[in-house]
Amino acid sequence: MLMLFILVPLLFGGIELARGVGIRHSLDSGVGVAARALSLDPSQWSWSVSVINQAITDNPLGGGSVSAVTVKVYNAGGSEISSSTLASLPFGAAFRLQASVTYTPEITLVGGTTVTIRVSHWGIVERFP
Amino acid sequence: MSCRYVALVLYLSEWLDFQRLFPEAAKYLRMKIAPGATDVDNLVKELAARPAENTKSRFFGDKQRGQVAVLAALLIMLFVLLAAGLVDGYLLLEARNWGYQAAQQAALAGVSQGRDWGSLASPPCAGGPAPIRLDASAAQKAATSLLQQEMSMRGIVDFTSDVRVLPDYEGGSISGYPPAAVRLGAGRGNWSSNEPSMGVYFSFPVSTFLLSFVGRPTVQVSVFASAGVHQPDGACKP
Repeated sequence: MLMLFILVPLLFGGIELARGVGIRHSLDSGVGVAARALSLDPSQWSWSVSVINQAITDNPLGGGSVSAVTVKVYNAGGSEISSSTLASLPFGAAFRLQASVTYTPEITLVGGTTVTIRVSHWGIVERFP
Repeated sequence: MSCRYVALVLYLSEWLDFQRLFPEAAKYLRMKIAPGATDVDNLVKELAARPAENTKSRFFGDKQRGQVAVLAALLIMLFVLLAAGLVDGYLLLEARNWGYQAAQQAALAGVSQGRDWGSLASPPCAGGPAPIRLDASAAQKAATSLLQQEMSMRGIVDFTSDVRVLPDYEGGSISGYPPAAVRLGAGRGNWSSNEPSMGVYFSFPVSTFLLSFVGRPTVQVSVFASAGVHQPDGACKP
C-alpha cells in the first residue's frame, strides 16, 4: 500500500510532467513560427495567433486542462503594443511575441497546482520599406 | 538404490513425462530398479497427488522471508532518485536551450540594428557592390538591451555577459573569446569571422533539485552565439 502511495503519484506525475513539457514545446514551436511570419509581414496577426492555437491543439499528448492561449506583442523597449502598431513597425524594428497558457496537471492521489507556461520569441521586421 | 529416493528424484524430474518422451530410457531405468518398479510408479503418483509443501519458500527460503520489504524500500528510493534526476536533467536542458535561444536572438538583433548604412553610401573601394560594416556601439547596445530584457523576464539577476563586435568589413578574430567552454568545446575559444559579426556570451546559474542534496544547489550554464552580415556577392574589398 505504501508503495502504491509513492509509485502511483510518481507514475502519473511523470506523465503529467511529460504533458507539460509537450505543451511548452508545442507553444515554443508555434510562437517561433508566428514570430518568423510576423517578421516577414507584421500585418499577419490573426494568422499568427491561429498558428499558435493550432500548435497547442495538435499537441500529441493531448490538450488536457490547458487554457486558451493569450498572445501579446512588445516593442524593443519592452512595452506592450497592439497588433495594428506592430503592423506599422518599420524595417529593422525588433519586437517580442509572447504567448502563455495555464496548465493544471492531474496527478492521482496528489492533485495539481495550476502553472503558467509562458514563451516568447524575438522578431525583426524584414518587410521593406 | 533406495526405491523412495529414486521416486523422489523422478518426481522432481517429471517422471511421467519422462516415460512418455523417452520410452527406451524409461524402460532401462525400470529394469535397473526392477524389483521396485511398481513401487516407484505408485510413489510418484502419491507424491503428485500430495499438496506441495514448500512452494512458499521456492524463491525465498524461511531465512530470506521479509527481504521483499527491504527490496521495496530500495526500489522506492531508486524511483524517487530517478524522478528527481529527471527533473534536474530537464531543468538544465531547458535552461540551456533558453540560453542559446536568447543568445542567438540577441546576436541577430545586434547585427540587424547595428548595420552601418552609411558605409554603403560612401564605399571604401570600387570595382563591385559596396560592402557593409557594423556600427559597433549600436550593435552592442541592441544586443545588450535584448539580453537584459530576457534576463529580467526570467528573473535572473546574477549573470555575467560578454558581448563583442567585429565591425570591420572583413571581420577579424578575438583570442580567448568566448571566455569559457561552451557546447562541446574543451577550452576557451578563439572566435573569428570573415564578415562583420557580433558574438554574445553569457553565463547564468540554474537552481537544481536533486543536486542540491549533494552540495550543488546551482549549476552554471554558459552559452555563446554569433551572427554576421553577409557581404554582397562580388563586393569590392577595401
